[in-house]
Amino acid sequence: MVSSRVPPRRWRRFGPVARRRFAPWLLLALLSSAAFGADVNPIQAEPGFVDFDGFKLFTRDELDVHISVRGPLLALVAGATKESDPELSKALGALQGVEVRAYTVGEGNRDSVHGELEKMADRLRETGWSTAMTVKVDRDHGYAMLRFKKGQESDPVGLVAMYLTESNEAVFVNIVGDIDTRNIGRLARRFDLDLLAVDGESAK
Amino acid sequence: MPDEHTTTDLIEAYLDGELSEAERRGVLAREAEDPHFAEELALARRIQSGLRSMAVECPPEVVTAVVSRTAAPSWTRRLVDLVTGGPSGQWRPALVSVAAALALLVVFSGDLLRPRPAEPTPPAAPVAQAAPSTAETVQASEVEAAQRDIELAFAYLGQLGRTAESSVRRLRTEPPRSDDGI
Repeated sequence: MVSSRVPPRRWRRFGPVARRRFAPWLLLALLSSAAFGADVNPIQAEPGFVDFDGFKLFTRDELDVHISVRGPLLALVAGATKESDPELSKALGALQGVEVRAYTVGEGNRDSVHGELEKMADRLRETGWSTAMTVKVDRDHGYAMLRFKKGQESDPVGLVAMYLTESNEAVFVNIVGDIDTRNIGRLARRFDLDLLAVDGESAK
Repeated sequence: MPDEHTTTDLIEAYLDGELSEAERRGVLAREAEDPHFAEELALARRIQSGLRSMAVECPPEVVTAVVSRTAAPSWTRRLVDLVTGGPSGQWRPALVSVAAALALLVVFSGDLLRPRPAEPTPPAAPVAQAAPSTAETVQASEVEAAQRDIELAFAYLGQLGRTAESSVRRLRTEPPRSDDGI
């Protein structure tokens, strides 16, 4: 960056007229960077997006599972499954991003991770998320939270599920976009059952 | 398991008012005849009414932010002041520069400022090409991998739902303990 090498005091040599002449170019640079920035990562501007990195609960190296499917790729999957799985296709057509991060928690860190989960839920609530479900049973702890469009309570634009299982797996799921909760719920149950069936067969 | 899945879907559709009159009568008849079904239906009704009664409050910091933004000068006024050097600044040379800058932005940014088309229409059958090129093959495999990833993501969601469901069932049969909660 050239500007970082210029001592700030040099700018004092320029009078107010010159500064006014620079202002439009500065404006141009800001507009261009904003336009390019928005093009690179628009999902971060969505109200339903949650930046799991921002919570600093884990590093990417620790992850056992990291799924991130966004924008055009989601649309491609929606199109590809239009005939084979209309229910999935319909749900994906309204989404902008699906993210999952899961990692194994050491038994010694379990309590601290549990505490961090609760802090994350508190921070999300402070920024406009609503708790849809809380699970605290034995060693299973988790939250499902929804974010709604402004002024509405029936159209979620974001879903977060965070939970710590009995087997010490910490899971974070974020779904961004127009969410049909009933459809998403059916898909979740269906694919969970499918996965259990596969696990059951492989265990035999 | 498939029976439970079908029953749950039927109950959901009934509670959402999506069944025909005949199907609705069928559900009510089954409720009268099948105690287990009646129990599931009653539980689903309680959950639904509980969810509907959940209050969603506007966080106080959002209210504060909205009020402060309303009270602040508009960004357009600030922008004009920045360009003209203040409310009484010399604006004409600056305005010419702004016009030139915006013209350059339009020229160089190309399609950045144009309205974007809708999401790209995916190919009807990305895998089933007679002689796919390398790029098409990679794209198809990426789509298949993404589909598997998405299914796994939903399975993770389902895992939390299953845990909640099993805890609901357990609470129905066991007295709740002080450290349990749904």
